[in-house]
Amino acid sequence: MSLFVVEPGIRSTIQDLGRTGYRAFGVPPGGAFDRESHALAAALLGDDSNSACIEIALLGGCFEALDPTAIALAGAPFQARIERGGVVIKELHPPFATSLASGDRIRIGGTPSGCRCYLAVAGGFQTRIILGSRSSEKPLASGDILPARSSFTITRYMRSPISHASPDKPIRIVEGPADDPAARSVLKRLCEIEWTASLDSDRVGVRLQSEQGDIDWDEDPERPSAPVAPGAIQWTKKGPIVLGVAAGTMGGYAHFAHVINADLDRVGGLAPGDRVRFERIECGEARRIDRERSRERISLLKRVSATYQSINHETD
Amino acid sequence: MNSSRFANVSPLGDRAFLIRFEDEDRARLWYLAARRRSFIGVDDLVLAYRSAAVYFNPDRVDPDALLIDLESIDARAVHDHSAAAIVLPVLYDGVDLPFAAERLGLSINDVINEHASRVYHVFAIGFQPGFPYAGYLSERLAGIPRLESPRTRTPAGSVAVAGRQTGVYPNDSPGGWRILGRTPLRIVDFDREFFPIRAGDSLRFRSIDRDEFERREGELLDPHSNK
Repeated sequence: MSLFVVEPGIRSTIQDLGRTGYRAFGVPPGGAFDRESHALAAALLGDDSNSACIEIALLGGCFEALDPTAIALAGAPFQARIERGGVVIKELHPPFATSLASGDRIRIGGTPSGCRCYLAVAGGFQTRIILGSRSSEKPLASGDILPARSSFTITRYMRSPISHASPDKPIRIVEGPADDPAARSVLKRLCEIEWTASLDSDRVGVRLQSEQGDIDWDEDPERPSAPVAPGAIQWTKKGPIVLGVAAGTMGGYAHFAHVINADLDRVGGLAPGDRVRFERIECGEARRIDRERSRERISLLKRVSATYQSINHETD
Repeated sequence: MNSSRFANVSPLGDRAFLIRFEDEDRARLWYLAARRRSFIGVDDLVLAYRSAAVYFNPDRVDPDALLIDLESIDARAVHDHSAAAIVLPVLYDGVDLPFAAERLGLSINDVINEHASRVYHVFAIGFQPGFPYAGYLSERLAGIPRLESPRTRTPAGSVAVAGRQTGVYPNDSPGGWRILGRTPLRIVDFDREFFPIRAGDSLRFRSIDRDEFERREGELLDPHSNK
């Protein structure tokens, strides 16, 4: 009743929606970096968004079903093949759901665009819950056995419903909380330049580089650490960093801008070398967009999840 | 009447506020009062020095209405007894003790006595789960710089200083602070979801000998014990 990790990929971890209520103790929220894709993978199997999935970044890996297992994959367009006895029996394009027989393997390759995808099993992986969540920053390793229940689904594809704006569209940010004049001029500069996500980006943070990115800003060495959140954009001597979902709860660098919640998934989708621009909007507008996206997402997930259940009833 | 005296409020993204206060005391008292109330739709409430962050879920609460509620909290109604007075036993045998003494122009005993004689405030918990940022150090102890390059491993229990601050490493981790000693106690217990030191508490260090260290090694910190 589990999935065996044959090859783990390079930065694969178990993620659900993460933790709330522990930031006061210095515990970061964690959870899926691209929450919409994660929720879709779960919904394809009729599960709610807190289902624990494998978050795959940049390179997939290979996983073997030790029992019949319904799986789903959603997110960036990673290559995916199902192998039986070393022979490829299916090529699939996410988002999809399908079933593995005992001994079948899913081999996930790379992706031509984006960075992350989510491999779900029906009911979610039953790994250990710590502080209310299965989210873990420990990378999967070859030989790991991930407990899951035995399950079945017919193969389903769906037209990619991810409403992520085209990658050319700027990521939207709001000002602050650092609000001195220097912070404001850096914010303005951030929006004027095209940036590139650097190689050392991960779930903790996406570092940005630009040839025009030299900005003179003397850092206040006495600045006390302050609470941050995923999406915080901090200024460091090496350039800006956008904090990810696994970043610490406190930060010492100047926090001069913040990615709006509705666009945070797009930060999770940035692969090293991807280019990105930023556009400043007002906080009220950010909240309006957040509500709108939230409604769209809920209605989409309900539809996806409901069709899964009706199919299952017919085949029972 | 607004007795909480926010110096200002900024958005921390679109799902949180950062509230700034005029000083650490006002921030702490407001935080202790706010923590005793429960606000629908508030996921996390975090104190850090002169600021506090409020993380909310906009599906459950209107941010503008929440802000009005937060501003109405009467911090005068709270006293320090709603926070714990933590006493942490420390064996002062840290690797950076000689460096600290030399840098400050004090004897090693002076450094120990000075560090253990003060009651500190826990201004924030962060950097890693359960790490208390406490302070401020006395003038005589302040000003020890961080390591230029952090150690790859600072052992769990290390009691360390940097600048005007002192802290305790809950787990083995990289660290740039200068180590003065170590506590035999565990200050977090993940399995029991137990974090005995909270922001807003007071923290005092008590110098102990090697015997006591060995006897108590691995014990879980009881926030209500003064041993």
